[in-house]
Amino acid sequence: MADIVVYDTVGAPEDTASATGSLHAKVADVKDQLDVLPSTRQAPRGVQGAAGSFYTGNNSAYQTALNITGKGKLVGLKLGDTASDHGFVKVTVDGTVISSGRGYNSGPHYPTPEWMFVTDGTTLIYDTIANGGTPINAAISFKTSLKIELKVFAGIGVYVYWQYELE
Amino acid sequence: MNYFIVPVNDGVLDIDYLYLQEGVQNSETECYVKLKSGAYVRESWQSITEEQFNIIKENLLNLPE
Repeated sequence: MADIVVYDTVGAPEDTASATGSLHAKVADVKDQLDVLPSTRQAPRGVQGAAGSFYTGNNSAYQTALNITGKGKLVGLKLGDTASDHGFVKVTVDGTVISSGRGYNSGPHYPTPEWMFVTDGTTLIYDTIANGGTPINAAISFKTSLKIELKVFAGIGVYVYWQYELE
Repeated sequence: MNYFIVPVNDGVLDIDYLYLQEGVQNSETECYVKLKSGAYVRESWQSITEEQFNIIKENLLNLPE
């Protein structure tokens, strides 16, 4: 008698999905609903999801390469220059500087372990963890704003590439 | 794409950065930009060609150390 009650409650794996059926049926129903739920982070929509670049030279002060407001994530970043160690990049998220350092040779890019999130403004981004950098291999989320600035140590060309998504 | 020369004020371009596809800054007061379609365009901005834009970018990347 007890076996019959348990079977009626739990059901069988092949039970059709149902919100009011056996336990197997209810689990199948939940799984079906999860499969059709939209992602919490929406795909880029037109201009709202974007890649871009900024080149500068002959500037000793930081120049604003990108300055946007909204909620989203920074999914890619690359710093490059035409000579070693001449480019400086600063990344500000929600008003807080999360990365400020100097480029190196062909240019570090994020996300990779070689992008070290130093914030002293002078340490090579492509440098060792011993200098205080932290490798981050995940997207950087921002709630209100994202700003990328670039400057040159001497009169050569430096550039930064970026990719971000806005919700 | 739209190509323009836009002013730079204290290191900040006079544009809506949401529409910036590519920027090439060759002086402290002006920047060559490639903007995405739909961007607001000021009448005072000078329109340039893609060829002019690419020449400026090449020159910048070939600056001597």
